[in-house]
Amino acid sequence: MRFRSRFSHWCLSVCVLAFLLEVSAGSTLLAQAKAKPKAKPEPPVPVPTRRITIDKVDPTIKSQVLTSAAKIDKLIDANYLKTKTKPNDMTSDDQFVRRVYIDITGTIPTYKQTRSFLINTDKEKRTKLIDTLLNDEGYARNLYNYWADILRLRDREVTNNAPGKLYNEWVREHLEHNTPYDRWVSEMLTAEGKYLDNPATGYLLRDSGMPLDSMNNTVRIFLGTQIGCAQCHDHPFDKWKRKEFYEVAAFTFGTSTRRGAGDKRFGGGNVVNKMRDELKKIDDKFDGGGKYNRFLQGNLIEVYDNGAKLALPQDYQYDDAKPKAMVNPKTIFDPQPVISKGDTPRVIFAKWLTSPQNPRFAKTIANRLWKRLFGIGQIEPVDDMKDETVAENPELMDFLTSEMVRLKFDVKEYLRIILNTKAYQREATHAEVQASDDYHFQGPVLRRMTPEQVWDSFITLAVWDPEKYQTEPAKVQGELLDLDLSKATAEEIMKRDIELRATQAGKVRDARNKDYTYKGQLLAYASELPSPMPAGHFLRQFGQSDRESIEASSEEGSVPQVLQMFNGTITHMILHEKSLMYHTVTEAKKPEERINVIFMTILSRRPTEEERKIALDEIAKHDAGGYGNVIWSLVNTREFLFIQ
Amino acid sequence: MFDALKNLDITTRRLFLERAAQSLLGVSVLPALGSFTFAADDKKKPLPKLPGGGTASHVIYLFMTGAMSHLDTFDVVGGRENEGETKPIQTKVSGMTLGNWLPELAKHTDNMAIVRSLHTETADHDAGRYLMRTSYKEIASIRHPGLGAWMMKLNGIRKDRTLPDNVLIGGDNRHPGAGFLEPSYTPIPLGNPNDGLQNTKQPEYLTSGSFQARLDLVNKFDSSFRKKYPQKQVEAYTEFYRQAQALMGSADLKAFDLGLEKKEEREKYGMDAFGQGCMLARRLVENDVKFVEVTFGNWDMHTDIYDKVGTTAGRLDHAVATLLADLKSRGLLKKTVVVITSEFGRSPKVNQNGGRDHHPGVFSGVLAGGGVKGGMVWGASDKQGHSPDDEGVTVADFNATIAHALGLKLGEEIFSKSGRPFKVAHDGVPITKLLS
Repeated sequence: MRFRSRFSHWCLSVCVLAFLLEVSAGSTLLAQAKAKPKAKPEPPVPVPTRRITIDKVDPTIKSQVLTSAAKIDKLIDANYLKTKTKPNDMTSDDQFVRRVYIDITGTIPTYKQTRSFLINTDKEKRTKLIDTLLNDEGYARNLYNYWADILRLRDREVTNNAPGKLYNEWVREHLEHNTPYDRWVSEMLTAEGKYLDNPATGYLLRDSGMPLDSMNNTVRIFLGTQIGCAQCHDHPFDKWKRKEFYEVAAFTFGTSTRRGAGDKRFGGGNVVNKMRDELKKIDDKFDGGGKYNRFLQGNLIEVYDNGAKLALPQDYQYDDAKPKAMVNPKTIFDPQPVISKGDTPRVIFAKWLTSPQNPRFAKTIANRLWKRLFGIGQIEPVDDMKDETVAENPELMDFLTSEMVRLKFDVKEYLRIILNTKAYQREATHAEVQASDDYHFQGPVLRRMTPEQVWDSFITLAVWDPEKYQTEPAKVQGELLDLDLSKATAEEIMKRDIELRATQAGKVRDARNKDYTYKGQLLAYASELPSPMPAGHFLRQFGQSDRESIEASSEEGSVPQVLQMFNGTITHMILHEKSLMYHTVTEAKKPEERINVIFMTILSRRPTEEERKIALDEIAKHDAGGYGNVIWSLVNTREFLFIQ
Repeated sequence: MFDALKNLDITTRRLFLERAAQSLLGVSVLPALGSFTFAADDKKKPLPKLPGGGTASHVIYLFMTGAMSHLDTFDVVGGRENEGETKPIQTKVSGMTLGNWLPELAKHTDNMAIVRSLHTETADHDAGRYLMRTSYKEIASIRHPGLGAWMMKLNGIRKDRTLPDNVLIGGDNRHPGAGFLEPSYTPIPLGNPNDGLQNTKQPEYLTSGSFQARLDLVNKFDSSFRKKYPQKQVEAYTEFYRQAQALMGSADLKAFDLGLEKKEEREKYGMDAFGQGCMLARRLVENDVKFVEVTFGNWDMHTDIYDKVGTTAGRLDHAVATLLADLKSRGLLKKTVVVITSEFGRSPKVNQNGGRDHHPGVFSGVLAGGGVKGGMVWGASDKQGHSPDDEGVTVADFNATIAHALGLKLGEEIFSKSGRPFKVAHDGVPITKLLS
C-alpha cells in the first residue's frame, strides 16, 4: 500500500505513466503490488517454507585473516618482481563494491547498498563489507549455483524415480551452515540408507549403475585429477595404468543403489508387482503401469554396501595382470589410507580422499576457490593435475593449501582471506589473457558474470525483497514419498499420491508465485528456480549448464542472448512502473539526481560528465521515455555484463 | 568363415570381403584402401588433387549425444553373440541391414553410406563430442573451431545476408563454436526448435528509429569500457549485437518459424524436439543456411537399454526418414550432406544392469545426400562389434570426407593468434570412394 499511494501521488504531479509508455494494466504482479481485495476472500493456501540459517564468519579471528591475506600478497609481490610484472591499480570503491557483491552474493548491489558503501568513510569498510556479505544468504545461493554446476544437480531426478530436490537441498544446507568441506564431501561418499531418508546418498545415485564413471568423476571433482582414460587403456598423457583405475574403483564398486523388489525385507514375492495389483483394484484410473513408480520404485532406492568385488575386464590387455583377475582396492597416490577396524572400503576411501595428508584434496579446493575469485587458477585446468604440474606460483599454492588445512576446510574463512588481499582488490587486467599465457595475478581477469549472476542481477534491479521468495522445501515431496514398503498398504499409497498431486496443483504454485510473476516468468533468484531451467529460458540462453556434464556452464555471448537483452520480457520488466528500479529512480526528483541513481543502480557507479550530458540530452528530448531509453541502454552495455 | 578370414593378410581380406559382398549380397563393402595409402604417405607433401567431392554446399549434422549404440542401429548384421534384443532388418539395398528399430530409414538406404569402422580413443562424452566436432583433441591452451565455423571461414562470410550461416539446434554449452576463429562464425544456438529464434520483435511502443537511437546510446555509454578492455570476449558481443539487429528487421526470420508449417507436415517429422529440430533444419537449409547441427540426447543407455532404445531410435528413424524424403522432394538433397553420428559407440557386452556402456573402440557414422554415393557400407566392425575389422576410419577422416564433399580445401592452414596452424579436418584423409 505504501508503494501504491506514493506512486499515485507522483503520477498526479508528473502525469507520466511509466518509462516505457506501455499500457499493461493487469499484466503484472510484482512483489509490492497487492491484488484488489475481493468480497469473499478464500482461505489462504499454505505456502511452506524452509528456515534458512547462515553460519557467520568468526569476528574474533580478523587479525589472523588480515595476516594471512598479507602473506599471500607478499608471495604475489615477490612473483611480480621475479617476472617483471606490473600489478594493476587498486580498484576504486565503486569497482570494488560491484565486484565483491557479485563474487560473494551472486548479484550486483542495489542502489542503496552501493550508495551506503560509497559514502562510508570508515577506513575498514572493505573488510567489514566482506564480512557482511559472507554472512548474507546470498553467499549460500551463489555458492550453491557453483556446486550445482560441478555436481550436476538436477531437481527433476537424481536417478530414476528419485526427485533430485532432496539431495540438492542437502547440499545447499551444508553451504548455508558452512559445514567443513571435508566433512560434507565425506558424508556424500560414505552415505548409506534409503535416499528418502538420507539425501546425502544422492551423490552416488547421480551416477547410479555406472560405478566406474562415478569413481572417475569423484577423482576429477575432488582431487583435480583425470583418470578416465585409464578406464579403457593406460593413460596416454599421464602415468595412470588401467590396473590402477580398477584398483581405486574397487573401493566403491561394492555399492548397490537399489533394493530388489523381491528382497525378503519386503515380505517376499515382488513387492512392486504385488502393490500394483492391489492398486489396480482400488484405483480405476490405474493401468498397472508407471503411475505409482515414484512410490514403488522410489522406495527401493537405497545405497548400501554389498561386498561385491571388482574384476578386471575380459579385454584387459597388459602384462601386469590377467583378464578377469580380481582387483584389490588401492589408492592412486600415497599416503595409503589408515584403516580402522570395521571400516568398509567406502569409508576407507573417503577418509583417504578427504585427509589433510592427501596431496591433492586440499590443493584442489584451494585452487578452485582461487579461480572463482580471480577468474583463473594457480593451476589450470583445475581438474587435470599431474605429478609434473607446477602452479603459477608454487610457494603461493603451497601456502593456500596449508591455509585450507589450517582452517580445517572452512571455505568461508578461506574466501574471507583471499577477498582481503590486495591482489584481489586490484582492477581487472585490461589486456586479453590467453589460455596459454603465463598469468601472474596482477589482479583478477575480466570475467563475464555467470548465467545465474546475470539473471539474479536483473532480479535485484526489478524485484522488491526477492530473498523472500523460496522454492518449495524438499521435505514437502520427501515426506509424502517416504514409505516402508513392507508395511505400506495400497490405500495409503493412493492417498499419498493424491496428496502429492495436490501439492503440485496450480493453486498451490500460484499462492507461492503470485507476487513474483511477470508475463509468465517467475522472478526469483536462480537458486529458487528448477535446476536446470528448460532450454530457451533466459538462464540457459546465458549459458546455464544442462546439468549433464561437470562444469558445463558457459560465460560466452550469443545472438539469442543479445536478442533477450534487447527485446526480452526481463529487460522490459525493469522499466515497468511497479518495478523496484522505477521506484528508486522516481524517488529522486531532479533529472540530474535521477541520472545518478540510474547509473549507480545499474553500473554501481556515478556517470562521467560526458555520460551525464548524453543522458540529460536524451531526457530533454523524450521526457519519461528518455529515462527508459537510458536504463535500457545501460543494461545493454557490455560493462553491465562483465565483472571489472 | 569369419575365423578363417582372420588368417588372411589385411589387403587380401579386404579384397575378399569386397568381392564376397559384391557377389553375394549385392552391396559394396568398400575397403578403406584409399585412406590407407594416403596415410602411409608423408603428410608434409602437398596433397594430390582428390577425386570427387565439391558438389555439396550445405550440411545437416545430426549428433546423437550420450553415445548411440552402433550395435542397435547402423551396425546390425545379425549372428552376433551380444546383439541383445536388436535384430537386423533388410533394407531397400539388398544386403545392407539396419537395426529393427529403423524401419523407415530402411527405405532410404539407397541414399545412405554407412561407415562402420569409425573409432576413437576417448570414452568421455565431452572429449568425444569435442573431437567429433573439431577433429582435434581437446587441450587447455586453445579452442578449435567446429566444422560449421570452418566452413564459414574457408568460404568467407556472405555480406548481403541477415540469416546466419551456422545454427545449433538443441544446444550444448560445450560446443566449441568458432573456437579461436572470429566470433562471427559462432553458431546461433536455439534451445527449443518450437520457439525458433526468440525475442526478435522489439516492443510495440518503440519505432525502429527509436531502436536505433537506443543502440547509439548503448555505444556511447559503452565506449570507455570497450576502450579499456580490448578483449575478444568483450568485442564478441559487438558482433552479436550487429547480427541480432540485422535479424530483427529481417523478413528472413520466418525461416525460424515452425508455426508456418502445416500440422500434418510437422507430425511427419515427429512432434518431439528432435523431429521438430530436423524440420527446422530443413527450413533453414531451404533458406540457404549453410550448416545446421541438431543434437539429440537420451542415448546414454547404461541401464535397461531395451526399454529405451525403441523410443529413441524410433524418433531418429521417423525424423531422419522424413527429412531425407523432404529434402529430396524439394531438390535439396543433392546439395545437402546429412550426417548422423555420435561421440562413440556402446559396448558389445550388455552389462549387469541391462545396458551398454561407453565404447570408443568402434562406432558408426552415416552420410547421405550432397554427392554421397548411396547404398554403401564402408568398413566393418569385427565379429563382436568391438573393433574395426580393418585399420578403420578416424574421426578426422570422417570429417575430411564431409569437408571434401563441400569442396573445402583440406590442406589450407589457418593460424591461431599464437601462430599455430590448423586445418579443417586436422590430418584427416577423405574417403573419396564414398563421393561421386
